[in-house]
Amino acid sequence: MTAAILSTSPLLQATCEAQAATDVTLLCAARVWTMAGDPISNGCVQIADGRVARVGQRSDFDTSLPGVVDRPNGEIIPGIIDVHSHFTLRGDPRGAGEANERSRSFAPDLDILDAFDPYDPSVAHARSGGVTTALVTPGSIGVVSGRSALVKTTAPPLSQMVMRTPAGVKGTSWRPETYDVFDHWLGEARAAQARPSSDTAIAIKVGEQLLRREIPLVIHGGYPGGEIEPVLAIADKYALRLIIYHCESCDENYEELVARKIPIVVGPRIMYWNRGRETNLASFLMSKGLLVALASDASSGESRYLMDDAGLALHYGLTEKQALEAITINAARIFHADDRIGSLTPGKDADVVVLSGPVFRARTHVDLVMIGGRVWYER
Amino acid sequence: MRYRCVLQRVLVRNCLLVAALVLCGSTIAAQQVTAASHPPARVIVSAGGLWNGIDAPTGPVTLIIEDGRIAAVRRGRASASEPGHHFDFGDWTIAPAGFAISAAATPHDGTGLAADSRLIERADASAHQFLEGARAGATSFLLDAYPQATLGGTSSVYRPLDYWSENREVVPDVGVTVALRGRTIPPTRTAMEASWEVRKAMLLARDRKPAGEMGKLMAGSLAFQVSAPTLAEFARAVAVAREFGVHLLATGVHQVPVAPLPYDSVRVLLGAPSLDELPELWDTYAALQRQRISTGILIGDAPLPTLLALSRPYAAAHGLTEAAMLAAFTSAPADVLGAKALGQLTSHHSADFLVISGKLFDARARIERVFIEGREVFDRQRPRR
Repeated sequence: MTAAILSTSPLLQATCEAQAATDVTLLCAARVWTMAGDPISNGCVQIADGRVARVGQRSDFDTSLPGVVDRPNGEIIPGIIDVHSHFTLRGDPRGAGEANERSRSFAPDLDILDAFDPYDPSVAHARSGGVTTALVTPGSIGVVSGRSALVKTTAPPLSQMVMRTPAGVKGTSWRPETYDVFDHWLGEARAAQARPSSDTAIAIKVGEQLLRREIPLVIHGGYPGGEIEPVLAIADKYALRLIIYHCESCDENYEELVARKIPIVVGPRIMYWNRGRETNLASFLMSKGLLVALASDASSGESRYLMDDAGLALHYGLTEKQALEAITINAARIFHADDRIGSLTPGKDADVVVLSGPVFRARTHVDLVMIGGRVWYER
Repeated sequence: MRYRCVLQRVLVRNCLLVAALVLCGSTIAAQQVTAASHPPARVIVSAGGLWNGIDAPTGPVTLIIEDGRIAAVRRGRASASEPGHHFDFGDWTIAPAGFAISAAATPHDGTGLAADSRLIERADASAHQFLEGARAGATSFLLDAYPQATLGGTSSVYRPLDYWSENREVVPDVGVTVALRGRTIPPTRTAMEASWEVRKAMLLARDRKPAGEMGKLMAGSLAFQVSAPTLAEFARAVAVAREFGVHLLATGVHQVPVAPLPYDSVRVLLGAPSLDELPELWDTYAALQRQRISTGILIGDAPLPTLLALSRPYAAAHGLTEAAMLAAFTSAPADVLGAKALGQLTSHHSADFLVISGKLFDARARIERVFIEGREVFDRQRPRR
């Protein structure tokens, strides 16, 4: 009820959430999925100073103290990380939304945070589904469409929500000029590295960040016809960190990806009909040794239901642990954020989700969401 | 022959008649232009009550207006023998006129960027706009670019062509108009691109210090005038203003963030409210007042007396007196815009006022007459069109 009211008014949301934090210091449940080893039966997670302080058996903690959330029939998981999202980016009635700049195809100087609306109700909506971190990114209409950012699904001001910016550069592989555009751009950036100067265009500075592997190049691609090959060639030539979104035909050319150890973010569709049979793409790619995450591509999918979509991946092969890894620690590892998020490990951000029952069950719902040690949602 | 002579006489007489009419018409028009561009020398206005835009009301009262400005405010009614042009409005009330916004067409150069243009050159010159403003209680207009313009040109506070020989700027050089939002008409543009284009222009201006409007913006003699009707746009505007250290004038604001703004050099014009937005309007106004941010409210379609009457419970909940409520629409926006001579009916200020039948905070009250610089420009009983 509270969540429903909070989600309807951005101003009310910001006001009420500022007052809604509770001093929760211990969360206990029937099972704790740490994503740093096997799940703990009858376990607890202790919080201090916004971080995970300790994780262990219930018997190791004093559950009689104030500030305890106890779900004897529930489960605890790390905060869900949605690493492919365009949430809050609305506005264009033509349907492309604010994520897709149509005036030019090459736009590494654009910053998604200039379009991201921290007051939009979809932030609270995602959070109510257990998503605590999202990678918000430009769309896929240009060869290079701009820079993405990692944000926590807390509340404004924006500066307090941003975890990392830039978190990557978004591009596509399906345009015929893809190779030439990347080659020219990164060639210029490489040449600029040889002549350091403070007067350098943002596009070149972003290119330099890619060359230094500080940020990844995230490509919307992997469709039939081998259109990913020009980007693979660019990644080889310039030694880039490369990540691929969707990768819908990657069950056909996975050897190239395995050889380069390229991480894949699957979604919004989990299941594909390829060559007359239903394929669980995530399961297939994981079985080949690739690092795979599942994401919503909000608003094509919905961030709020990412956990439910991950449950679909249990069909045809993924275990519960693998499905949960795909929306937590794998996502964090892919974007080099696993030093802070993705698992319930001492020292990491206290981004914790308490479920009313076993994860991936149809009747289980999100009971409580904690971000940075503070409760941001309670059912 | 005879017919032709008769015809010639008719034609000649008619030509003379037409010429006489043209001459008279020109004389009348010239007198109108002359009279409009030169306010009456001395005007004396008596009324049942006065709200001066600052203090609690007084009345009965007489305003002495000389050369378009308030020379004196006296208690009681004026004597008929006193020299000057007299108006006696019985028990009606006088209040200062307010401000509205006027969108000026911006050049269609394909990019929506026109920082060095002056919006006054494209200002709405129609009597319609002026009359609609007067009916609602606004006589001065802040120019703003059309919502789709990313960098729309330099604004000013002006009065429309009607009644004067040209659009008259009463406060020139207010700000460089900006919209940090996507553009949905061709050429389309996302908010990312709009923000980037504005930043790029400001980065160039900061580095090269050009002589034009962007240079003046960076030097502080023009405001960064951002249309910010949503929370996200307002927050974005504050962030950009802070990044470049420019003075922010946010217009059309409806909501502001709850947390204190991270930047001091901010002025805000709220509105123009519709009647169902009044509770939120006063919440936002009070929130900005608490942060000591210079804030005024613009007038839109709803007439000022109706706005005030219906606002009373919401404004009173924030501790605002009736005088403070009126000031929010009159002297406060004048402060925000640097319009030193407008917004209040005290000595040396421009005699721009509304004559209202009944009490100001009565929903039944009507704006009966409007005066600018002591000259009557609107009479509800005798609409000009």
